[in-house]
Amino acid sequence: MTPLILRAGWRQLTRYRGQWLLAVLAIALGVAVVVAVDLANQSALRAFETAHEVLSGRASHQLVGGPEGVPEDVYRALRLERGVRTAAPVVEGRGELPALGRKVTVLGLDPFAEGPFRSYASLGGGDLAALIGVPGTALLPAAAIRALGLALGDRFTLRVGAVETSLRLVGELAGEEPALAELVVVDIATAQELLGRFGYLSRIDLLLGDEQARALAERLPPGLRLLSARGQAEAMSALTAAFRLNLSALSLLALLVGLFLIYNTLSFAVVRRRPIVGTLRAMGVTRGEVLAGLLLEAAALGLLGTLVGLLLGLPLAQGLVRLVGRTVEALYYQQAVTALVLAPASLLKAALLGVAGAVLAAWLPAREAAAQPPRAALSRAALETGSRRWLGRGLALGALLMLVGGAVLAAPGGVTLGFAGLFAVVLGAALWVPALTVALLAPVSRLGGTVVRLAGRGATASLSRTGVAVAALAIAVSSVVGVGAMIHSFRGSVEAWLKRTLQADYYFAAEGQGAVSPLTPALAERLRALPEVADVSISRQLALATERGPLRLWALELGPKAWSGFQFLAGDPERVWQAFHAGAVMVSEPFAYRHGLRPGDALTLPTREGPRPFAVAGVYRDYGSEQGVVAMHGETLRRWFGEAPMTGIGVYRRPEAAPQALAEALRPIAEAVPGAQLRSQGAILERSLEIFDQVFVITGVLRLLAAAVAFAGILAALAALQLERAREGAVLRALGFTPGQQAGLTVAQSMLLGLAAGLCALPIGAVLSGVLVHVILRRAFGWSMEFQVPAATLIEGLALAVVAATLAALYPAWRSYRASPAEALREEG
Amino acid sequence: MRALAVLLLSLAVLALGVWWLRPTPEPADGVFSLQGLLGGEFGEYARAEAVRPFRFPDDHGPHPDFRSEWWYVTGNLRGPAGERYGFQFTVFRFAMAPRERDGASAWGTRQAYMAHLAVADIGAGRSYAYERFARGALDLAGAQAQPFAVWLEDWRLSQAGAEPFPWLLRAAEGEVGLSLRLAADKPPVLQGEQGLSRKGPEPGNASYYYSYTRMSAEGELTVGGRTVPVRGEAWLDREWSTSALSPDLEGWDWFSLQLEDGGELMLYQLRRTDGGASPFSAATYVPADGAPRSLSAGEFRLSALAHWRSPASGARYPIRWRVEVPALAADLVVSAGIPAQELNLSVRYWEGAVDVVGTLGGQSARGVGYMELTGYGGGESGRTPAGR
Repeated sequence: MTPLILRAGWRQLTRYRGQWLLAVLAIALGVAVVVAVDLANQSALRAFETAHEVLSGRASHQLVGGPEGVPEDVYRALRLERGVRTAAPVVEGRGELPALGRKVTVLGLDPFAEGPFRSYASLGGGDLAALIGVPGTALLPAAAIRALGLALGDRFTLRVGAVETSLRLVGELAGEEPALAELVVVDIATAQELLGRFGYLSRIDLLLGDEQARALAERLPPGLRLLSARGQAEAMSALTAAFRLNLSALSLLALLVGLFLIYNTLSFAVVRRRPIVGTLRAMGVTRGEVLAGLLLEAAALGLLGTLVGLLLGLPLAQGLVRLVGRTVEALYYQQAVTALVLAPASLLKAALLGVAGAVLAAWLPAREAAAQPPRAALSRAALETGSRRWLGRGLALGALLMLVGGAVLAAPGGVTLGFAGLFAVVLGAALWVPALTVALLAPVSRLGGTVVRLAGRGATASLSRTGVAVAALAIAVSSVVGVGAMIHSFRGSVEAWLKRTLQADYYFAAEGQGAVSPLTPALAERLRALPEVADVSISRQLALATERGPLRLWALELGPKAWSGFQFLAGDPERVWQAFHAGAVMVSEPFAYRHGLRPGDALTLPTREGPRPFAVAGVYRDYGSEQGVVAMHGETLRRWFGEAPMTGIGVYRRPEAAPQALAEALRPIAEAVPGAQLRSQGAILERSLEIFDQVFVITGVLRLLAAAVAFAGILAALAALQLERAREGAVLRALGFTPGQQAGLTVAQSMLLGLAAGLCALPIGAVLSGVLVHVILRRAFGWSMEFQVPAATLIEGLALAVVAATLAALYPAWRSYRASPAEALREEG
Repeated sequence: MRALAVLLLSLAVLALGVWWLRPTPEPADGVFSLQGLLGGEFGEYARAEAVRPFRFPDDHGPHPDFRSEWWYVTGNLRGPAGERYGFQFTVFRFAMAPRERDGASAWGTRQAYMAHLAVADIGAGRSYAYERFARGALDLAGAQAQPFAVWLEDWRLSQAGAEPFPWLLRAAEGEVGLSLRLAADKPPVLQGEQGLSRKGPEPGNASYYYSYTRMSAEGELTVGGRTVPVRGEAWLDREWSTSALSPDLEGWDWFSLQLEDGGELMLYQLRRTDGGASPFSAATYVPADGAPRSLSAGEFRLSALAHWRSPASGARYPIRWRVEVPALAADLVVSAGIPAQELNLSVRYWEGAVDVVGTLGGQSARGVGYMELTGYGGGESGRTPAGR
């Protein structure tokens, strides 16, 4: 490469410093969003894995049972009669450290059996003898010990359900893994005593070879199942795959916008440099050298932007991790301890995207510049005609992309394919934006008023330079509109569903997950006997461990009013009601979607008497669980799965009773039952929507980030344009334009561009949200919902586009206001 | 006597800890101090402070209020072609708390059990050792006097029928298995002062200790996938105590020798860190017929003649000894059947079959026996040398 071209490039860089800085900023923002989301996703995944690892240790298999768990005699038989040495009993439950307000897993282990399994449960300075030999003793992770301000031998309070127990700290869990932070490790005897789970184990962890596992599986006691731990870990990560993919896609959208901006900046630089390129070519610099020089420049720009992006991405990731954790917890009922994991692969990936993306985006303009014959490059007219031709080509390519994307979306496929289709459609639409802008601005150019007309024509004329930035703004705004409409549709559907489902006036819920529920049939009968009460419904929940993750069973004993809360998407309600009472099951929509079930199909469930097919009577709407739920009558559960603890009682008011009277009748009952929580219908609705909003905080944040990237891009494009037009402005000034008029012209042009981008963005956004609702969410979570595009979201999007464009014009306008026309005229432009 | 209850107890407690936290480094000094852990609470346990009457078979059963206890069977066996084997089966009981554990869980217990199973194939020059741990609950491990039984999972030593003897020993793991019937050929020998075996000058620093010095053993032995009929002679040691190893001791050497003339000689020396033997070292001679005779530390001398370094642990063990007991006109050489009889388990020590030749009472004497060497460490030395 000749030094000449490098020097020419450098000269450009130093001369238009501000513009390059903005381009770097645009790339940096794009890369930052991608890397932050990727890191947050990796952290969430890692949190899942470590949580699983921490609880299961190195077990290859788990022996699990029905609702009560595994009878402890099975463990003895395993060791004494079957000679299985690598087996560890586990009693596990949920509790809370009230002093920290933190939920914890109470993990009861037999240290004598732990050798091959969980290494962290070690005793850094602990007293093993006391842990086993003395009741009410426990180990805590270092972080919790610090947070509670404890020393060895001190006591702390653990709450399980409504019962608070004072435990003595006898040691510290080794390791600082964040997943440990949610753990209280106790001896297995202590765990049974704390959780009230006598005679049973939660599971038995095993370390078995394939041969051993097969032999054991063949001779299992009835009601027990042998699961492979690997399958369970995979199911866990598969569970959140869709969620993580959604976040990644949103982050890629931000990068896409960033790449558009790189393209814009570079093509602009090329435009400006055509005379120089022409001169260079005339001096004998080859095409290849010009191309290489321009690409090198793009790479340098990309690298710089990427580095800044990585630096920006880390603190951003820090914040996102928290949001992702909260969402995962709300969506999947999984504790997701989300400490940021710095995955080198994530950093590398983002860096590659940034640099390669920049080079790729520069390829087209650079090639065009290099391809020009030296004489043509010196002429400007050639460029303008070139760009006009490009408009036509963009329309054709855009149409093609949209067609392909539409076809991909229409075809069946997974979430990834859905996103691919969506991206194709959005990209295709973006290619139409410049042409649409020309069409939209044409009437403006015919309006009266010199300044307005000038602004309209100027905006149209500048499209060769601003077209891509306008397209980028349109994409960003359309994603804001689209995601906003999607969330609106989703929230509306969830709210409607909640209002329909929550038929009872009050609900009793069991706190915690003890094996013994504070809610009892006696309590239900007592509530039913109240004069204000028309009916009660009883629900029990049970999570059966399976190879494909936990299977949620929901057992109901309910009257017609509660039944009316079900919205059946498939199956005749009358017939479902009868079948339901005759032992059939109903499945929630996501469950039906995931397993391809329809009414009349058979669903095989692992009962305590072995696998047994159940008739599927109906499919009902449910946004409560992404994995899906199998609902059955309480009697059905009892018959096939055993006694499960009661998790809720719904109380239905007699129409003639006063609401106040019922509330007053229930309050003393609730207070007399420790561990039972009384909530009104309204309170549950409110709380549920609160959780919903929490889940979508992260989506909202990503939306704003995409808008920020677009804003930076528009700013860069306009600033460049204004520099470019300095001479033109000077001519106007010389013709009698005041500095104020000229600045106004700049702002007006930009506003018009913003308006055009916003108008283009609205239909794109509507399509985007439609695809998100009907394709992406459906495929990712199995939910269907009512699709709505609220006017407010559209107006908001339009306003965002105009305001962003206007704000972006302020600085260039100020520059032109301050510019001295004489100087500008002297400049050769 | 393998007494020194406490050292072993300490080692075992440490071992439990170490074994549970295997992948993590051992805690720094002072954090997990064994002496500190064991020191304060002695008063709450029962202690061996005075001579007591021994009652059988009751005393074959556990003494749960003492901190540690063991059932220790060793023996020399011969196969159909005269090939030699050594075996060791030991169950240790440790109380983790001085009081019974309250609580409704069937898993609740204050008793921990550890067991070792070792077989030496002298002809093949190989030895095998295995260990197990379990809590004394849910029948996973336990001990009882009547009918006598002590077990850890399916390793079990128990009386065969309605009579107190014979006993059955059944234990198998990995490449070895034992199924032996043990008959008591001689009555129990109360070691030390009528069964009170002092380990140091402080009151209570002692154990209750008795032995069956000659039990005929017969049954089957599996090693390396081959099961052969075997017969031979075994030795049972029973000991329980609540005591701590004096800080100036680093380990001990213990011998149980069964001579062809029908007599037995038990000796142990407690090694001080300065290299000398503690005055609480002791020995007992059981003549072929007649009353056992206790010997004090000054009445015998043990000197190491040859050493062997374990390739597994790096520890250097004296595997050939000269035993001099002037009062018995005894001058014997004790040699390991094979050098490689280290038990490289949570508690590391050398325990193995030995041959004896020399003179006793002016006549030539020969026999077999078992030897236990502790505190030789693995390249380092310290107060709890085997506890790494």
